[in-house]
Amino acid sequence: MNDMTASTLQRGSLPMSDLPATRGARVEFDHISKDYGDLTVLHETTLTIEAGEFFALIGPSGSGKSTLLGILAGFVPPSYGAVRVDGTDIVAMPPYRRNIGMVFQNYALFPHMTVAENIGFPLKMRGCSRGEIGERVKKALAMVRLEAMGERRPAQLSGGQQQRVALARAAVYDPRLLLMDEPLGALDKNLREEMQEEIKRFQRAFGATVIYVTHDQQEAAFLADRLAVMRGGMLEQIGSPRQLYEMPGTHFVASFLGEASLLPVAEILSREGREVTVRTPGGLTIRALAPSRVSERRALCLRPENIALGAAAQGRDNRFLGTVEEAVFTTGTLRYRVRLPGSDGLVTVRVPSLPGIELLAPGSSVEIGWDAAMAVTIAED
Amino acid sequence: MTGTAPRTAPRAAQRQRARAWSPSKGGLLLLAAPLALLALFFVAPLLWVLGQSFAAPAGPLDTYVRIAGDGALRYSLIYTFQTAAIVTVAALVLSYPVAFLISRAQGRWLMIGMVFVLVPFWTSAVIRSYAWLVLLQRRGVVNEMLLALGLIDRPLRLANTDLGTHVAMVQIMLPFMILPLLSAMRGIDLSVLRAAAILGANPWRQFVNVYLPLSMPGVGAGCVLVFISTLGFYITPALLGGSSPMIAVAIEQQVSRLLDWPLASALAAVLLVLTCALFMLYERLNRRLAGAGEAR
Repeated sequence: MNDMTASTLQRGSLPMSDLPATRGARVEFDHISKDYGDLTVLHETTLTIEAGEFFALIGPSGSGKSTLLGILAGFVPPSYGAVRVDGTDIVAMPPYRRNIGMVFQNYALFPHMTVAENIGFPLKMRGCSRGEIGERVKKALAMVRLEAMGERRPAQLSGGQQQRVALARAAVYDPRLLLMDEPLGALDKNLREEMQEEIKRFQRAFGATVIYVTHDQQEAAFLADRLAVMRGGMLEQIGSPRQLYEMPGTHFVASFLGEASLLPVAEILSREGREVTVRTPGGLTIRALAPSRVSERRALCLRPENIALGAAAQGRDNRFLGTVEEAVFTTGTLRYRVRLPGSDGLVTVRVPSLPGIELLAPGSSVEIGWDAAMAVTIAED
Repeated sequence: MTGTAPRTAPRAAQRQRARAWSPSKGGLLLLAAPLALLALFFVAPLLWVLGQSFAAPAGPLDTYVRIAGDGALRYSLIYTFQTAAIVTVAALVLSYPVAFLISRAQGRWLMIGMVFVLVPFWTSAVIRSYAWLVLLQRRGVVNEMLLALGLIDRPLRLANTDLGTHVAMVQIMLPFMILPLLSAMRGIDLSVLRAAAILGANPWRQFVNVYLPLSMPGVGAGCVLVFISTLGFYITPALLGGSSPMIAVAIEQQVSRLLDWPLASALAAVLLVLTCALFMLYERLNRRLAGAGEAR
């Protein structure tokens, strides 16, 4: 969890204009929706993905993210609306004319072809000469570091290698738009992290626009320039990973990205600029940040690493004496569940587990504190 | 638990050969009964037939010499293989789209499709051959209908022709083609077709470059099944073909009319050997085509 935060911060600070010069395509979903009879799987959605952007769609299964990707690829005909790639509406175009690259969840490699034949397939379909195919396949194999595997069959490769073949096959014809549908879903954790690095590097070098579907928020935060959280066939919030993590708009986004303690808000006592003072049903008075539309904001979102413990809580805008209910060591961090005074329940606190720091015993009292800027008001569902 | 686990114990255990339970011991016992049955009712009669083929009064190889010298018998063999080839190709062409549609069907449509394949499959070939006779004979359903429609003036000769026999044989063989095709087609991951589409393959190339090769195991299995079954067709050509030159009909004539058991046995032996040879050829081809891809 800490790793994610670190990478989020680093990349979140990268402004859009610093993106490398791109040959990627610009994608616009214009009032797109999809229904099957009475069942609406995608509500009217308008979304623009800039050229060269690494854009992630995240959400639980059934949230509409795969439908959106399917519409772009041409596998799912939308019920209403237009999809434009560099200004051209592609809704009426069959998939094989769209010139889009795609990596599938199960890779969808052709089991009866060798690795080289798999990668050469899109070139063959485009009528490239045999020599050109051989040359470009060789280059693509080198790019994914599988030079020696060209004559193998997909079934003879490991999951990670198959994944790289799928990537090479989707990129070998230089599409300006690359779609990835949970490409790392089938890999184990270590390999997944390794492949994330590789995909990121790949996209930087390749310069295409990438639209990446995943239900793994850490993966999305690591990879994407911007991400859209989807829920129930609708876009819930769009922003950079850091924006979404630090300023979630809703309860759903707050708890979908990373870990959050949510405190209910009973009343807003005062407002001064972006800062508000609120009272909880349990009787605590808390100073917090309210980015917009104060009236809708009925809860506070607290990130576990933003709460200081013990001596570190001194001088914070909000300070309370809590009781430790649960104390756990996880690799690199000490994780506490601390009961707030009154009846507002528990908050999660996470501090680095430096050598020599004792784990607090459950039942002990501890001061916790956070500054106003660390607590964000969000909309309740 | 802290500290290291004791290292000597597992080593000592390794030194002794493990007396582990193994499935092979019980398996052999289970195999004994079917093996005995096969030996008694399949291998023994087969050997007896082979023995008979060398038991002609005029010498052990007399029957084979007579087959080689008899134009009618030679033709009968050639005709049989030719018929098997025609029936196989016709059955494949008819079955492929049917199997494709059923493989894509869901729920009720899948059930309806399977019923249409399985009910004829479960119906005796004798009954179906008689049914074809009823349809194709001089005053049969087909002729009556064509006459009533005014398309023909006189009944067509449909029974006792190659055409009629072939049509009936193809119909009887269809399930043997459809079922292996279906099983191969249902195993094809459809996301592979989507991948082909997004990579630039139009529907025709999706079929030729991806779907057809992936369905080839079913094509091969179905063709072998139909071809070999057709080689031994007896009841349908005997009923519909009159004096059909199918080899099984010829063998029956040798036995029941000419009482020439050795010659009939030799014909059966020749058919068996040719069939085995063909099957081995198919297996070899199959293995070469599948190549290293079978590692999965």
